[in-house]
Amino acid sequence: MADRCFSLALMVLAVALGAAAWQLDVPFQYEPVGPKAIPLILAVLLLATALWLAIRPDRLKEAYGRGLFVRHLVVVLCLLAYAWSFELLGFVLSTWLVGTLFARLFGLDWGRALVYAAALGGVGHLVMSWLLELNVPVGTVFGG
Amino acid sequence: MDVLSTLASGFAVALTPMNLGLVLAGCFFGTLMGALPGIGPINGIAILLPLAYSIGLEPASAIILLAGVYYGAEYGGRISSILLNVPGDAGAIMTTLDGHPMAKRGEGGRALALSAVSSFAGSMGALILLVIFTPLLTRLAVTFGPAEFVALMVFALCCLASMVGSRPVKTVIGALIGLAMATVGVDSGTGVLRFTFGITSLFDGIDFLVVVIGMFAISEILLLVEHHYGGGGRLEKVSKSFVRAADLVQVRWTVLRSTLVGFVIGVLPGTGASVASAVAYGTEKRLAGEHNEFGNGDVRGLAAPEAANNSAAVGSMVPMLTLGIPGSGTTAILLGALLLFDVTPGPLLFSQKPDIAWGLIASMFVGNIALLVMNLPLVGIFVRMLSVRQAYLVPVIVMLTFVGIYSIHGASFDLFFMILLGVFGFLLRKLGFSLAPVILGLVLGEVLEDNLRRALSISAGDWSILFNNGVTLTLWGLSALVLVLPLVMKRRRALRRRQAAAEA
Repeated sequence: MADRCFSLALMVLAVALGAAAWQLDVPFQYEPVGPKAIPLILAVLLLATALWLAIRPDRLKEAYGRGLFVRHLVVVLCLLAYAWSFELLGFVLSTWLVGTLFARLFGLDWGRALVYAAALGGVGHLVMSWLLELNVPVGTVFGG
Repeated sequence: MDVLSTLASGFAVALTPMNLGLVLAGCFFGTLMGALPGIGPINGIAILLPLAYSIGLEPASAIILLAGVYYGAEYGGRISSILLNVPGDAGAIMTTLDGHPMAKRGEGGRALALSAVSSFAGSMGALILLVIFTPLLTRLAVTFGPAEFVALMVFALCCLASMVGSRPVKTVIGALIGLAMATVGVDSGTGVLRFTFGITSLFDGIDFLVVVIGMFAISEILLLVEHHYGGGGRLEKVSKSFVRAADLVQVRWTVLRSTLVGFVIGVLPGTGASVASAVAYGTEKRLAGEHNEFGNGDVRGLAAPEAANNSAAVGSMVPMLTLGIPGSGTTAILLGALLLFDVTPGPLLFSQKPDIAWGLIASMFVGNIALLVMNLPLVGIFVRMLSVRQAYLVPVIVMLTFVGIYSIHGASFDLFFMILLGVFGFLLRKLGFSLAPVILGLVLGEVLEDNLRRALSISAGDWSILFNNGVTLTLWGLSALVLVLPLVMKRRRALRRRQAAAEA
């Protein structure tokens, strides 16, 4: 079932890819192939293979329950929160916050998670920013 | 000897203090990444790659570091296989079969020592083969034109389709997705924008680093959250690790055969360490005859996959360096890394940038000696690392991926895009797709299109240029053979089984 849904999505994607490639218009070109050919070939192949998958899908053995879905959702939300706060709050603060959540999610208790993530943010900043001289955001709320 | 003098110049590159330090760091980090269950060589390289890029390492230094992570991980994978019965990376799955029973018998130290020596022998043997064969292959590859490269890339993708993953059709779809991703961005031939949806960050194309980190590291975190174990898995007690001369004598031919098998399989495009170790293990089991302890802690069953997976890791460098066609998912990332540093692997690499090519090869000799030292007396450090809880590990991984991706362009868009690709990669893995073809498609996509268009420009639009000489025809024939052969074999096996069932 999951395979069928996915191959359906792939077929839609393939058609969209083909249609978008068809509309590519080049005012002038010096070579015989141009930018359309490869995407069109890919779209046709993708459509064919997705169709084949829809006709003969795999049966998935694993059950995907609600508990698992919630855990995955929490991970994705944490990642999104990290991405959103990375520039806004700066590296140290956002790492502290999101690091705590991740440590908690993987079974550490709140107290330890807070301390560990704080250490991670602090040490991480020193290593990344000072030692390796990487571009680490200070945080717009701090005027960085 | 021409080869020896170029190799000597390679050692001059590899033995500068900076590069020597990077080899050691890469090998240590790689062993660690290999040893920790769930984080294989691909993730190790993916996490380090943007950091290496942003720090501004020289191309030669960066590739030396990343390759160190790759073959270091092949050493590390065996540690958790033997002690925890959990393979640290895909190449180490076969090692659990005989390694873990040995550890259960209280011979963990013996197993670790013997497998370290087998790994070392496999790597060194493969390196010597690499030094011999690389110049020959380069000489052949120099004669290749655009049409030959198109046929060669199709061959690589066909090999991949028939050997990787649960089903060929899923591998093909994966490769097509990767190839389609490669078309995003400004078209090199005409300057027209393709599939960018007006997003400026996509004008340059989809960033290779974002795809690699998203698809591998981020999706890995989503997988880890499913069955995380709180430092769980019972560690078998490790006896003192030492090498027994009797063991070495017993496995000497096993190691030699497995090294050869591993190297050949590694060189074939599309197959990597995991296939090599499985084939080597199967071969040795068959050769051992009826009186063997395979599966219950036979030293040959331990030595064979370890020699083979290290040998394959080295072997897969050969097509990557000489042809610019990666042999596995991991070398696809290494190839992407080289392209990122504006180095185009391929036949001209050895003549134009010998310091990179031979520096890398020389560094692998140095790295393997370092790994042997790390894995015999210092193995205790890595064993202790196995008991580190994932709760401490995952935040570090998340942090490293975010810093790595952010530091490339300093744009939050990349972070969100990385998460999106991570979710997509996770879906693909859940549905039984392998991610290696996606990466291979992404890396090869642009080169494939460039070569195809160049070939057709030469022939003024006549597609028959793709089939007009012996080399291309052979490659097309091989591609078809590789695709058809597994199907035929499967049918024959099914037929024979039905016959056997009818007779019984």
